Amino acid sequence: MTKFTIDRRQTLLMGAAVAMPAIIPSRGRAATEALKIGVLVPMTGVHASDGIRMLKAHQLAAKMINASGGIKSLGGAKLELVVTDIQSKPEVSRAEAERLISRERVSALAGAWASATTIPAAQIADRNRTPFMITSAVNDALTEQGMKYVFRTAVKAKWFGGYIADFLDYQKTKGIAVGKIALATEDGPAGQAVRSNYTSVMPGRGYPILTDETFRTGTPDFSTIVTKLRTSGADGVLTCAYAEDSTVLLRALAAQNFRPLYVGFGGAHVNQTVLAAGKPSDRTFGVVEWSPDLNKPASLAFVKAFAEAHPGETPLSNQAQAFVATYALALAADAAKSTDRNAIREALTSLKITDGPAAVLPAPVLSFDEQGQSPSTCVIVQAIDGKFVTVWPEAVAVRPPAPVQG
Amino acid sequence: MSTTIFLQALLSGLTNGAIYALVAVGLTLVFGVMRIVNFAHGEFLMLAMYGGYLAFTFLGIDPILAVFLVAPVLMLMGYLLFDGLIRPALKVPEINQMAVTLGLSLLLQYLALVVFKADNLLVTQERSTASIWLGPVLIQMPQAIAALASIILLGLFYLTLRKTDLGLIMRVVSQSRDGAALSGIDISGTYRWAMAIGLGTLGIAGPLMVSALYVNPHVGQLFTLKAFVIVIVGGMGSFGGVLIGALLVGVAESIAASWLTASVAAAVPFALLILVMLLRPEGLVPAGGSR
Repeated sequence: MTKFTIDRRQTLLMGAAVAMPAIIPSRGRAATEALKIGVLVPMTGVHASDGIRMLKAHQLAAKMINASGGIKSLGGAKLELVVTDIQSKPEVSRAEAERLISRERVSALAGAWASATTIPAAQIADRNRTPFMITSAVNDALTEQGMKYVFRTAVKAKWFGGYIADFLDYQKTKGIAVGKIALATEDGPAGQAVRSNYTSVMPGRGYPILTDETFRTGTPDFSTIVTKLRTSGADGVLTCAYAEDSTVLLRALAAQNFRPLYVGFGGAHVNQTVLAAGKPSDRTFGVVEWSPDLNKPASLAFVKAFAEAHPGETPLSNQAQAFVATYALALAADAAKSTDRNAIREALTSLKITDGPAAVLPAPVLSFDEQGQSPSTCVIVQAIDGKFVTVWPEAVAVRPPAPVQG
Repeated sequence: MSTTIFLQALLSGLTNGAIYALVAVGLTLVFGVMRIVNFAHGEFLMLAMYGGYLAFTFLGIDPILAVFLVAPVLMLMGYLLFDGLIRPALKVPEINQMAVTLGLSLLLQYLALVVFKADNLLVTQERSTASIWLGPVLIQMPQAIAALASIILLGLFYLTLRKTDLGLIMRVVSQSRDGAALSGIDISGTYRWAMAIGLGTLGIAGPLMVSALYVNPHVGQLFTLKAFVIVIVGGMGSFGGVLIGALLVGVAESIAASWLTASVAAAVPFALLILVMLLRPEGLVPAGGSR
């Protein structure tokens, strides 16, 4: 009986604790209080170099926001990043998300590089009713499972096949017909996720797949695979490979005088290593979420500001996403006139960014649907004269695609 | 599978096999003579590949000629490695020797990471995309050069071991260390030469392989495991075995990859290893047979 009473008391106390922030005006409402955003990045472990890169972009956004007067509707409140190292580990990501929410009292979170480290942190944020802005994870389920507090500026993995089909359709209108596809993908999780996406999308879009080859990273010789691609009768080759394998594959294609329309995947293709392969990489395409030469004023301004902050460095696509993620949270707080988590969440659902410094990504509008997903798009870049140049979509292209036969 | 693809897979397998032999021959020499399992073998290959890259990029030396520069450097490394690390390790149990070479392997990888960063570096030449067509199938030029070098090197090895005093001494030491010592043979000197030649072969492999592939701090690992499989399948310490083991692994891997998926094909060398261990644990060409 006694035990029961205590339980009840505890329940009451817990209820009071939950209700407290709602009853007492939040400390965050004070005009001079900073807007605290938690940043989850891996700064040690296997993804350390990626995490450190991402952090530079988050910090640049914060610096630019504060330099231009902070959060205006909050009386010029400063944006304060609470940065934490998730050690490239899902369990640390989860624990750090929890700590930032409960101890650091952040208004929102951004992060957390890979899908594996993003999923647990996003779930914690959703459970604690704290907005979570995904920076770079492409796992489809993140914005498909009805999490109300999770938002994503990045694309979904399953959209890539669609972008390539759209691009091939566009090429067709320019008289460059590609009818039949051959696939060559590495046999790890990344390559196989892309492969299953391509095989499910391309045939339905009128691009039959004639051959579907897999290879192992570090394969010393691609002659047999290229013979298969060449003799299949395909005129388009879609790949997903690490940069080093791409160079060996591209040289094998050149050695057999086979010059199909070649589309590599993501940052592993749009990479200095691939360009270093010389002529074999010339005129190949890559599908990527963002490119530094993107013909959009905010994007060019971002690249310039980044180069000033980090001389000699050109930002990569995920850094543009991290920059936009930070900006989007600040703009939402500005629109909400509050640092309250629920108010920011509400503001995010009606946010519509078409211009200004946050309009960096290729999609014309940055907004979030009821699942928190933005209508993102990719760009197609092409290696022309030793440089990757954005050639599609037309709205942000620097130039039209060059013919495949260089 | 069409005939063309089968023939291409066969030819690619033979070419790859010859390249694998080029990497494995030094490993089997060191093991055959010294009974030392050198886990850092792949890392010395990585260093030789960087050597080929640096010679090409900064001195403009063709990788074929760079062999004559890099091989002596690698020989010197082998010489120093013996006196610096291996000789003290010979006094400790085998498991500790393995720990020493394993530690060296990791140390070299991380040192390379510090010096060269994780980027992939390439040697790009006119002949990077050249090829030799044999009817409907082809060999890419850089791969063909490396395979040819492998055959020449194995021939030279055979002659050295059969026809020279050094070869005779090495064979004697590998058969019985104590017996050789009792006959007045300088064991340490022989070991030192075995280590120098064993790593020196990588000085030939490195520049030729970097022009066919790429180099990064972890590239050696791609070949270390395969080289061990080849050495064990062929028969530890056997030179004939290296060639047969390497060609077998190369061809099996290549045909399997053209038939099945890459993941299954990657398991083929190891399935082969288990099969050989079960049926012929001494290897296909036991060391005694080829001496």
